[in-house]
Amino acid sequence: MSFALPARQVTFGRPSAYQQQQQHGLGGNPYQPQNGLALPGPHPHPPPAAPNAVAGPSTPPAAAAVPSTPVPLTLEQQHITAVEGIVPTLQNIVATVNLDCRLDLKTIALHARNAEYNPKRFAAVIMRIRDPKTTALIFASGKMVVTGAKSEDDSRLASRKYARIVQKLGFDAKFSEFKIQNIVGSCDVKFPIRLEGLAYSHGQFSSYEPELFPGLIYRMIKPKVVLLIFVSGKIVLTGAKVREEIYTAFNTIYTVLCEFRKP
Amino acid sequence: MASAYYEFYRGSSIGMALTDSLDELITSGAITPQLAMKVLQQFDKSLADTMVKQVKAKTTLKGHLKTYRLCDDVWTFIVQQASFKMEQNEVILTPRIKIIACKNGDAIEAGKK
Amino acid sequence: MSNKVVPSIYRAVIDDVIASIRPAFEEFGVADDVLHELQSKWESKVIASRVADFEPPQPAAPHHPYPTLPNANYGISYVPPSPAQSRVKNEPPNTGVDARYALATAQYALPPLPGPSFPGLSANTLPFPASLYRLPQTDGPAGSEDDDDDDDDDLEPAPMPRTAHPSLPQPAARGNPKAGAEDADADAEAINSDLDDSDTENEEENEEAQPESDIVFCTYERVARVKNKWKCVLKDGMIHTGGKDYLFQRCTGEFEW
Repeated sequence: MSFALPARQVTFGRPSAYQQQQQHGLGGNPYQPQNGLALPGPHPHPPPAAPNAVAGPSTPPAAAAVPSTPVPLTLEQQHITAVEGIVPTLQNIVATVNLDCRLDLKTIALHARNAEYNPKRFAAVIMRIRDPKTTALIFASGKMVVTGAKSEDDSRLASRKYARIVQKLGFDAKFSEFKIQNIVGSCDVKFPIRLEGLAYSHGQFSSYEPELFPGLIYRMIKPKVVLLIFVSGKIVLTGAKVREEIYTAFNTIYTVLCEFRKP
Repeated sequence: MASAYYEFYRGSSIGMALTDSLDELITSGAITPQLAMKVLQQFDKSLADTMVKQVKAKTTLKGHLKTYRLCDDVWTFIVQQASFKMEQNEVILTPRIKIIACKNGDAIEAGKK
Repeated sequence: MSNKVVPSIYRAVIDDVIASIRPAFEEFGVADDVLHELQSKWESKVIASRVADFEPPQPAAPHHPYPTLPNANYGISYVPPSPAQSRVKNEPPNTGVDARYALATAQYALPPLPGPSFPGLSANTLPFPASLYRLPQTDGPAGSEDDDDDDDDDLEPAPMPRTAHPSLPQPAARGNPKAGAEDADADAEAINSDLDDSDTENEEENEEAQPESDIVFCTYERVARVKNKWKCVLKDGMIHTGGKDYLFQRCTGEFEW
């Protein structure tokens, strides 16, 4: 079974907005990667041959990679075959680490490079490294937040580098409980969108107050991702814990956006 | 009159010349460290007041910020390929310079958190 | 140019300090001669530092390039150096003296040297070989090396390492003996592989270990960053670069990190 498949079916099969709404809003099942992403189509479990059949011109590599027998693709592989070849770019990854060691922040600020410590304003040392280009917030408890990485690997590598810097200053820092807390992606569907229409028909998920903020905020339930959708067709996706959720959320919304494409 | 006096200007050329002179006078027994401290405090004040009154030059500095640090309200910058543009288009270049900046009395708190 | 104003500003600072501190000298019962001597030493050191083009001192003025042959004033103050020194040595080094200062004092007080300041005088009155006076030269131009102190510009004009000042960041003294000594479980929590080291780190460490030759002392009014672009407004600055001093009232800095 494939998730790309139902998404594509939606893309080409143009289900109604109401169906979309049902999918997003009423999916009460706990999130399960294997079926939670399936859109309510006429065939909840479409035949395995379908991916090839509907892959279309936008996804030749994936189509070629799919064997005739349904060997499961990774989620990313599936979603890289996504609609019109658009794949969201990861813009920021936020991770936390527990260095598992009390830290004297002033010592760190005095001895580490590229550090800021102004306890009157914020109770953490703010440190930056150039490679991977990231920022860390280091707390006296030993908890650390690392932001700015563009990939999971970079986030982890950067976090280890910060831990190493702290360790070199004489603290017994560990590298424990590394966890990616948020992934932010963005992309551009390259057509303008009728945000009012989208907000109206997906009111349950949408909040759109152009006088406050020019984008429509779309709180998708499954996957649990928040999307900022702009008239221009630019999309920001945030709240994901794994990148597949970004891809899935985009594929899901893309079919909706097509319906609200400005003429 | 400057509103605050800083000790760190003692690290400047004129400050070091004074500190070294006082060291010599202490060593030779001519003055006590306490008196020397009073002299240094007077220096902090006289320098700040004179600078405020008599130094009018404006300059710009560009360069690559190699490292920065903020701790105890003191910014430290190491700037590479620094170029100071003085008045009358005089430009002074240096491959590397360290900047030690204490918080000015009028410093604006940056809005970041 | 801002280097041109340096002599007059420094002149004004010296004059203001000397004039303002005179009551304190009286209060401490220190002779006016010593105040003059302080002024003369200070001026000579500033001139010898060559941070700007100072006018040659007036012939009659006491701020003749130091050190000269001991003059009458020095003689009066310093013929009995030993008791005075022991008095200094007995001072607790921390009574109201900042760390940097206490350090320097202690350094001088350790060997009963007459001080490198008065080689001519001490050579006559103390039983140290003249060569000794050149050895512990850590605090200023070695007067006995040149006939004319103005030629001392090849010496570091401020020999006290600037990094000794408490406001200057000190290099990290602590290493982590545990790093690399963890058991070989090579688990995900071990952070001691080369991968974890910033590639330029060692180079940077070496850089910071150097004494700072080019340095700016100033205040900041504003420091702001957007992405890697930094902008700052600096005030009341003393620049030391290329052996010269420059002063600014205001400096706008724009850096890329």
